[in-house]
Amino acid sequence: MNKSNVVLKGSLSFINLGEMLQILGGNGSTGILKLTSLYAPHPGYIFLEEGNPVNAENGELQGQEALNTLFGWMDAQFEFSAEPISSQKLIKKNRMELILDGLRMVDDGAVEKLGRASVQKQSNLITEDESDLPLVRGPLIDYIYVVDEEEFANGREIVIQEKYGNWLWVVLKGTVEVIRLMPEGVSRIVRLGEGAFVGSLESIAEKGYMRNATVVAVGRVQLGVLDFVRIYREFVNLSEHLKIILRSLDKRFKQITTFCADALMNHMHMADVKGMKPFITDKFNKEKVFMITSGQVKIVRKEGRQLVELCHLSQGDIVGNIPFLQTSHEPFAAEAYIDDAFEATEIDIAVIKEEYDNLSNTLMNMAQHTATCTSVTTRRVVDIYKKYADE
Amino acid sequence: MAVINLKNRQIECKLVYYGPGRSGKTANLEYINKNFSKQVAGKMISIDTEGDRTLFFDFLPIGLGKIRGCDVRVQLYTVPGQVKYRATRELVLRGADGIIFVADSLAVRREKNMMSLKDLHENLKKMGLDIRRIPLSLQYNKRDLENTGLPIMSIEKMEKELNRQLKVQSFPTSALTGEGVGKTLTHTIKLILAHLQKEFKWADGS
Repeated sequence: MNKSNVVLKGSLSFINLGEMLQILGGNGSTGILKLTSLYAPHPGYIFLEEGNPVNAENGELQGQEALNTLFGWMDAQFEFSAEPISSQKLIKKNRMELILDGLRMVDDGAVEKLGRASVQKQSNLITEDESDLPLVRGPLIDYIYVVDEEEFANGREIVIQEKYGNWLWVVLKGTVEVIRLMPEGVSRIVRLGEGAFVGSLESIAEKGYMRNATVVAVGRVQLGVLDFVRIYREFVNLSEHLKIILRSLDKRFKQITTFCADALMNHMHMADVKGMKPFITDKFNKEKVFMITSGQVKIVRKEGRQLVELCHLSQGDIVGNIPFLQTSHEPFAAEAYIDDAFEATEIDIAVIKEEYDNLSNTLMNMAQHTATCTSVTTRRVVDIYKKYADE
Repeated sequence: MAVINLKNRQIECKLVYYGPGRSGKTANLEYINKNFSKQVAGKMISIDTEGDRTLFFDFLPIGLGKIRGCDVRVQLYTVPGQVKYRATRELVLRGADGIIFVADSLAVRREKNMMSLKDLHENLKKMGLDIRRIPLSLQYNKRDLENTGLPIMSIEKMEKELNRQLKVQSFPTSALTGEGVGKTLTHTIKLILAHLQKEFKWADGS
């Protein structure tokens, strides 16, 4: 697709795909209609010849199958470039038939709706009031970064596990619940209150980010939409080391969430440190921070006679005591074990601390929030193991 | 909102058959497609929507005149009755130039007719259209059932219940036998053309 041939662009939330195809159809246009959505990992393409769709692409999908899925892209942006096309003619149906059939499939639920509209799905995942879940609140909200406010009614799903999306929110009022969908059912992880963030540090760094949990409104919730572009700009300009520290923290949080979800389903991760040796303990290397360059590291916690695995780190991850991001892991509440292949470079944390102190409130709050959630979830995992050991 | 296609000097407009499920919208279009085949452009498209099929084809009204030298092409649609077909219904109704409301004469469908008409009113309103201004005709369909002993409503009763405020032209029809189908269509297309003439004149001030 040649950028310079773009003759028409806009938002499908204003003119939907059905109408767009009718306009291009009535005009007898030839070219490529490109759709981009924040909720899809890659763009979608529709190839038109004299106004008729002749092929489409959505990731692995092609032809009409791909075209049908694109009707579900409600919030997408479109760009039409007028140019000769050499695409295969995989679609031979009449334009109007394609449009009506595509919309029919959206209405029938046979095609998934992508976009903020889809988020307004009522969740039946939360049925009882489980107020014994830990509640994490955030620090004071920096309103400069809030670009919009959204309200969600009780039970609405704000983000959905395994759906793509980079939106970041901060909870302004009310409570949301973070849950993991497991093959056996639902694992309820944590509740988030005012000042807490929905959306992770990793989602800033990675385009086409896949959500790793579902977040549901508990009661009426008011969320502030964060200025993603601003946060993104700040993030990409950080030093490599700080970026790695933040991403590694996020990875740790995700792993402990997975272990927590597993533990709730009675899948216990007993740590196996056979052949590994302690590297960071409360007596050894306790002031140091390393970036792993090779080998494996396991963060384990002793609970009675058991060793509970908290996370499993490898190349590119950070291990050690970061005084400004307390996760209640090593060196005081857990130990780091390394295998024979382990190599690492030490990081001068004092330099990083200086950079960290100059972060914007919002990014710093997000980092703190991730550390707090890691610590809260770790405590929860440990509690579950304790209970399990007692039984 | 008719579209003027400058490439082939054609005015495209949209006529939508609206009404409760199984009232005979599809039968209307099937009859037209079969019996006015010379005026049908392209094949009829049929989408299987729950309860009712959604049909679409292009119709070229012959002998009803041109507008400013342009030929007229009418897109005929049925709208899926079920509530869940929102996206489909919106696409079909958006920019409609005229409506034929197909009411069911069966006594048991009395309420369904009224609800559907109310629905039409609301759906048009959402698209900035006014049911009292858009070219509209009513059809009291399934009159052929009169002879079968099934309880059907009298024309007077239907007029009173559906057309008292609208006061538009209504037709007793039987979409199965085709009685009244052509008449309703011709009348409504004429209404649309007159409406467009008026709009275009008003637009250029002549």
